[in-house]
Amino acid sequence: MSDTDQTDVEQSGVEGGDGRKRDLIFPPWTDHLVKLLGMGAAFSGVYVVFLATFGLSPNMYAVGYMPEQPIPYSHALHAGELGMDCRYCHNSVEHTGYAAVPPTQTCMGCHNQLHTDSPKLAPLRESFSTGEPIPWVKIHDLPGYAYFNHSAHVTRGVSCVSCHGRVDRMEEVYQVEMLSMGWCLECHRAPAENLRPVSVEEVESLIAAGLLSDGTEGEGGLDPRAILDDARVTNLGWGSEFTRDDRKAMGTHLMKERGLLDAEGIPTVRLELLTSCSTCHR
Amino acid sequence: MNGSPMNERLSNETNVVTGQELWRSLDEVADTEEFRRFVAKEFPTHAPEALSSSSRRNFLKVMGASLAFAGMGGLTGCLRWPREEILPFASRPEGRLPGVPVQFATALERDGVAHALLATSYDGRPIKVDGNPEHPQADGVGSLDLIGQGTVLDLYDPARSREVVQGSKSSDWAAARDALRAAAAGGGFAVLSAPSDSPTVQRMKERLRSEVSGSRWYDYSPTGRDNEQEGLRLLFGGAYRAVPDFGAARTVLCLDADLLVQHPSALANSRGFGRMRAARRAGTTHHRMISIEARHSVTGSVADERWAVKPSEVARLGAAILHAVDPAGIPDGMKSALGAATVDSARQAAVTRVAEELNAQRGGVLVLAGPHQPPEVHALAHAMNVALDSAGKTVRYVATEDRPRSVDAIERLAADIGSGAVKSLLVIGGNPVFDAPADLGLAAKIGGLSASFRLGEHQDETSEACAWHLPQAHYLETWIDGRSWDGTVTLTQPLIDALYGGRNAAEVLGLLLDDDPKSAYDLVRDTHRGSASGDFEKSWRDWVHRGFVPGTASRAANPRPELGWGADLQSLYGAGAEVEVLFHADDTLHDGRHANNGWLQECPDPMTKIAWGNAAIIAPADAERFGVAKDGDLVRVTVGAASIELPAFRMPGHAQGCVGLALGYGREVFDRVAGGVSYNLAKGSGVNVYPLRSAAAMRAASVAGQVSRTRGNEEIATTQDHWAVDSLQKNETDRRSSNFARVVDLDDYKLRHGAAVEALAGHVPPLKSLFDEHVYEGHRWGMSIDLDLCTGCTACVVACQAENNIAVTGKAEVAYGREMHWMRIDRYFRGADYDSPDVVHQPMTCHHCENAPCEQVCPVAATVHSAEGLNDMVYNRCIGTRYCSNNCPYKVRRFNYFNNAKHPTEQEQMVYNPDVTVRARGVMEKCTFCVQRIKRATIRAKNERREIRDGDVVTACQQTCPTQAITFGDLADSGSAVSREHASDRSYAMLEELNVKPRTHYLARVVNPPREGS
Repeated sequence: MSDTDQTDVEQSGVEGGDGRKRDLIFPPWTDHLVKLLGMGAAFSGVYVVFLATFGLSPNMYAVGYMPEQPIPYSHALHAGELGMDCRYCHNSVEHTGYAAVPPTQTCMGCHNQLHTDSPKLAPLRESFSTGEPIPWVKIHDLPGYAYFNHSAHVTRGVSCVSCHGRVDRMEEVYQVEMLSMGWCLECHRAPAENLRPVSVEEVESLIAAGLLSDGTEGEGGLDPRAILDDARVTNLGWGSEFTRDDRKAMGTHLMKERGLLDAEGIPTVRLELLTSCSTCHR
Repeated sequence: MNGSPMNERLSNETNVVTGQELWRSLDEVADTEEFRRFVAKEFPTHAPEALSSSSRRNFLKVMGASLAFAGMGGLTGCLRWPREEILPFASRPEGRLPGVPVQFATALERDGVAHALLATSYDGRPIKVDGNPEHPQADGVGSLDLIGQGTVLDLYDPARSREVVQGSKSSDWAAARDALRAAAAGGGFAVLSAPSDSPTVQRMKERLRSEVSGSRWYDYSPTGRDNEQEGLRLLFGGAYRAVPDFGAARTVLCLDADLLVQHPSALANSRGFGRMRAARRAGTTHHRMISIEARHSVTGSVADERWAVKPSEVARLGAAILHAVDPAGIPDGMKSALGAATVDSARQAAVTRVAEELNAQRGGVLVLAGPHQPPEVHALAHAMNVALDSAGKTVRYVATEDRPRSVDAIERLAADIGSGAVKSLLVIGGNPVFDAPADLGLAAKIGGLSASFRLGEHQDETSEACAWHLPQAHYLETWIDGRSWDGTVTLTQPLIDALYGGRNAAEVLGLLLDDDPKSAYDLVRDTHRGSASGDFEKSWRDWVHRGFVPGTASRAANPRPELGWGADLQSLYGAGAEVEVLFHADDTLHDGRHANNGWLQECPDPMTKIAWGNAAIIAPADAERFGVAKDGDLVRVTVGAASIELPAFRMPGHAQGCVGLALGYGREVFDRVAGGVSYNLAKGSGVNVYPLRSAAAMRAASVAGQVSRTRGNEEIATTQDHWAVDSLQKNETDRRSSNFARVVDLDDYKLRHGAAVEALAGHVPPLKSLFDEHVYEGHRWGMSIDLDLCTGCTACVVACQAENNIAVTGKAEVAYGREMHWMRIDRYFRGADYDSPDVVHQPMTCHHCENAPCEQVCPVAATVHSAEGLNDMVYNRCIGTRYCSNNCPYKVRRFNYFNNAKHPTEQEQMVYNPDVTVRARGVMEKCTFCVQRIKRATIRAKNERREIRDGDVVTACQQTCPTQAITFGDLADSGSAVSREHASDRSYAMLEELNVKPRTHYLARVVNPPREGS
């Protein structure tokens, strides 16, 4: 028996430290594999961090979220092609925290005449006859401890498009922006690019500062009220002709007008307040 | 800190209290182990109850936490929050905007008196009630008492009854109606009702009397003011009620009466009191309040002079005062009766002095007696008003419904059931089986009836005795009317559909009387249809909008006094028993109807600071006699053959020889159990004292009893030593305490003004900061609290709880010092007289220090300043180190040891204010200056393109304060009310020597004690 052992070791073994050969289970090249695995393990920590950072970012799971709605309502048709103002349906947006989803009644204002037989509108008609609400699925969903107020934004000239994207081109609405705290803060720190004029005085002031054209060279020009109407927050496409720097200059001018920046462009308490915790969390 | 040798040495020194020092409790004066525990251990570290408690609710809480951690494993669960739906109205009501709170005028009735309210509804859920500022008695101030603030939680009580029950089987309204009508047709039908001044209920009552032959009606409440009505009957020979006008009263004499809390117009009284206090400081009027009382009440605590006497002595002292006033035109019989009221020589001087003052303030005197004092004392009080030319000036007598006294009515009912005259009974509201005189044996008597029905919000003790239980609608669910104390007709409109199909008293009587029953809405409208001048619909809309019918206040009658009851009064002069037992309505649970209300159970009593229970309240001087060594020692209180065992509590200022027992505790029956979780909060909190209260006890000011020590000690959850402000170790704090809550003498203040307050400041070193101090631009939100107006009534604490979703923690946690209230009222005793000390109340919330010590120690920046200088608390950043609370000099931070809001029932969630985050376990929280209200007001102002105006932001505590002691606003606006208050010569910052620059300032209390030789 000992003879046989000796032979086997000589044939397929390596010499042990005591001068004797030992059995080999894995072939020698696997030594490299061990090194590779070690490197892999070391890298896996980095990988997990990478995965968590990007995989758990709202960019991955929130942006593009497009749940199926009970009625395939097309914003592209209503707000885009037909040019209905956002506020026709979301009529509370300027007065309250919520941009209320319209009651069935609002839809039926037109749809008791139009497409009255459409099978797609069956849930609408059912809601109208039973009084039960239509269960729309919430897309832009902030956590309960974040107190976003629509009226505070739209009355200061932050357009719908800043957070919701070109809803007027969406067949089905999906989430465009991350709506994460960091994303909110970017704008709260430097809102210039997202600001539009909200009053005739502001339009005139922008024109006077040469930041906004009144449409014509020389005499007359457009009525500031018409420009103001064009720049309304619900005109999602407004401003596409401007460069980022144009918008920034315009917004900076408005921020000075509104006391968010002082004459030298140094942030005042009003701007600082935008990043105070209790502005959004209570 | 307390364990240091230095402190050892200090605490071994004798504590000498020399007049100005403030102290919180006898434990503090004696420097007992208990007190030191609370000062030294701000955070008691071990929590045995988390492990040992076997209650299913706690088990679920603990389990819930572990399950939540388990859930973290599945990452899918935390990628997106659960899919939510938006459910818009199919047809949105006019003027309704989602997420915008709307206020509606309504009213609640308590002991037959309506209180006008403004209820806030959030997306269809009433979440908060406040006073209706437009009501004629409200003077434009929307204040409400603590019980009223708590009533909104009753609506969402998971233990409320949800269905009609016959025996133990569920039934329905149709069957109940058939049974009711059969019972009424069978003869001997009777109604036992909680008293109601509702015109609609009274109309239905009249109809019942005429349409159901032989029917009887009995009104019963254990806590009403019907002794006063009997007293006025003695004096004036008719049914009257006394409507006081505190704002016209220069001298108020309270005969065992808590007029600022336990009076139907306590809120109006408080406002008048506040106005008079302000006028007296300005030197434009004389104002003093004298309280002769047994129990140390809120009113007694702010009175300028207080005599602690046994309840039985009040009659004699009152008579002696009237005798000393020596009014003209008193018949001989009465004169000799008054003359027979002798007082000892020590008191005689005081009696003479008070009589002189009353005489001097002729035409501006208000004398009122407490509800438990017998009718003769009430008659005496009002005879004084008449004798001092004050009737019609400080108090108005108005005709009222002639109702028999509760105790007489309930006795007659018991007799009528016994004699067979009553065969079937409908019990509306109240809870007579629990709170009727024990010697009547009402439960057994009702059980023997052929038919018995119970309309109640809970399936309670009375429901158990009755064959049928019918769910009663909460006042926020139904249409009804009522009358305020001044007679103004109020309207109660529902803010929500009845959650469990409950109906109100008028509706149930309608079911019985009408073949085609009408809704409560139609019943109320029918009542008032005749009273509109012109178009009824237009008037009705106006009334509903206002919440009351204008111009319906009762006209003052001018009744002629008759003074033929001298002999009856004289019979009350007896020496009284050696130990008298006094029963009184509780300041938080009233008669026990709110026993399942977590906010009210957790609210500390304004004076004793006891939460979640009652105790035998005794004078410190009696402790030895009763064998009570420390608070919580169990004693047996015996009255006649009945006895109960409960813990004793030594209350400085309580009358010697008297045991005070608060009604309403120890409720056992709230038997609704859902999902294996019992929602009985009342169980185990306090002791039911009704078994001691016989019919005789309801008639007399107090009854004779015995107190004997039994074995053992039960922990009383009192917050009086919690959150002690301990600036420099205990003894040093004691020495300096007078600068916490500053009290100045009126004469001194008139002479020296601000210097009198300044003199109390102690040593304030030059205030230099080591850090660069922040300069605040923009709004500087600040608060001012006037200690001269604060009565300690504690309404602000409950209002804050309702507004800010503050958790209820329970008795054990409160006993540990873990209550979550953001606002507390420090009740300091003042002076060396432990038997009758002065009191100063100091409301305490986050001071929003500009140089906040909490912020400097937070390792994660979870508490930081906003640009406007608000001290923000960021729950999501908080990791629970509690350093901030350690470092807070005012001790206003609260830590969530448990997930108090975990697994709320569907109903419990409904009361939450959606504008305020519900906090989870492990985070710190504190007063935010109602930042949600600040934000709402600023956003609205900006939407309207205007600057925010003074008065746009009203904090919850400020809104409800009955004396308007709290002012809030922008300190950057020099014209704002709060800036003016801060600029007052009474204004001071507490602990200013720490250079924390608090945004809250106090205004010193100004006292006017009796002067020697004046």
